[in-house]
Amino acid sequence: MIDTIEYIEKYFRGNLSDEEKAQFERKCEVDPAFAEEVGLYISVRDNIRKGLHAEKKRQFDGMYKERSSKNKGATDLVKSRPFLKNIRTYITLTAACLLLLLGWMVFFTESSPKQLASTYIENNLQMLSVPMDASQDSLQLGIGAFNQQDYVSAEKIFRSLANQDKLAPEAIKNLGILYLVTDEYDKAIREFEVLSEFTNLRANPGAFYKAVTLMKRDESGDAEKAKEILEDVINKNLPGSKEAAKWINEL
Amino acid sequence: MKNIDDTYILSGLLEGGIKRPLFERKLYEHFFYLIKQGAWKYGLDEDVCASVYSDTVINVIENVVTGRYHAKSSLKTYAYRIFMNKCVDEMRKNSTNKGKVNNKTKEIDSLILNLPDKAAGIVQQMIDKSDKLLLMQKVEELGEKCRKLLLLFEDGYNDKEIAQQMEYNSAEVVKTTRLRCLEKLREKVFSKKQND
Repeated sequence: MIDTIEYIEKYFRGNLSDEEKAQFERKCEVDPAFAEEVGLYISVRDNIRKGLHAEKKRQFDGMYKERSSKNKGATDLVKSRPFLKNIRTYITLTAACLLLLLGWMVFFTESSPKQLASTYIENNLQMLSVPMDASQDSLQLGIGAFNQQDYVSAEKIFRSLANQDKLAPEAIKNLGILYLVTDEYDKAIREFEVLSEFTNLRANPGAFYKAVTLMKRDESGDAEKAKEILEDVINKNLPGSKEAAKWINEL
Repeated sequence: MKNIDDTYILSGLLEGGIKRPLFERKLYEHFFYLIKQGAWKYGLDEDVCASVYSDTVINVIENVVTGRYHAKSSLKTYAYRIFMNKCVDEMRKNSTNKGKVNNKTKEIDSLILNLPDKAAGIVQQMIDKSDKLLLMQKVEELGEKCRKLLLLFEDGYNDKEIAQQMEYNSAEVVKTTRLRCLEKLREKVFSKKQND
């Protein structure tokens, strides 16, 4: 039986050739006893990992308690020494002035398409929201992975869902966003183009996201192409038209 | 005092060995201020944020050690985003049905994601049928040495490092011992099932 465990371990450590991998996966499908062995191996590893996380968490929580009690001591010291309190006030005021200055500079400085796209991505696409119909476990799993920045797992999940009729548009949209936030712009553009071709959606943000990707990629001619798409988005009142209207004059 | 930057922490984590726990603690301390930021931004209790922050650091360590962190963003940005996303999850937990996503994300590290859909579906059915409590109990019964060895393996240490830490003669001995531990566990689980 040790041979079987070693074989399973080799698969999960990526030590099998492509042919051996395919053979392993076929065996899971046709041999229930083997599938049970694989299931047990996964359960054991998951179980041990949970134990490991719990152990680390205990250590970190202990560090937090230790630091919190030290900080409490420091706060008490500040309270007992008004001079330190004044210093903190001056620092806070200086920081506020600097922030105001920075805000003024940002407000009165023209933004480049790349900056506009970066800000939009930072504010809107770093976290995916769960669709209203939250009954699709796999989609939720993918979104969860994305939101924890486990992009490798998220890509695998969205990719497998992209072939399922019902979930394809949402999975393709999420795949495009994933490629956009991981700077794989060509792949993102391809996904958003595929998304745009779905004509039966209530709201299709494919075109707008493609424009955002072009602005972010910022290669020669990208800004012009993005502008054309944004004009189309405004004219057809597609999702993203409000942002598009704000940006159009700056492109 | 040594200037602590991304490279310093990353190389310490990746170097492994007995120094790694030290760098894990340094990482925890490095972005400790996020706890206050999270509490302020999302109106969460600071103790809750501290727990979320611990989970974040564990995630970051795991992703660095397993090579899933590709340094496309700075360690600070990376940790910040994971932390803030977790804070939002925490806020949603008790408010809307969107909180359900939180329950699911706990499983995203499972090895089952390495399998293609069809095989994963069949193996998942086997896992669903298995007795999780029994497994936990049998892991506890494994003995301290086996448990420590499996924990170190799961923590991303290679066999050579484990051999050094646990004073085994070689990496090969560690590998054989690990497989024997897993075999022992397998026998315990299956013999209990057969007796039932």
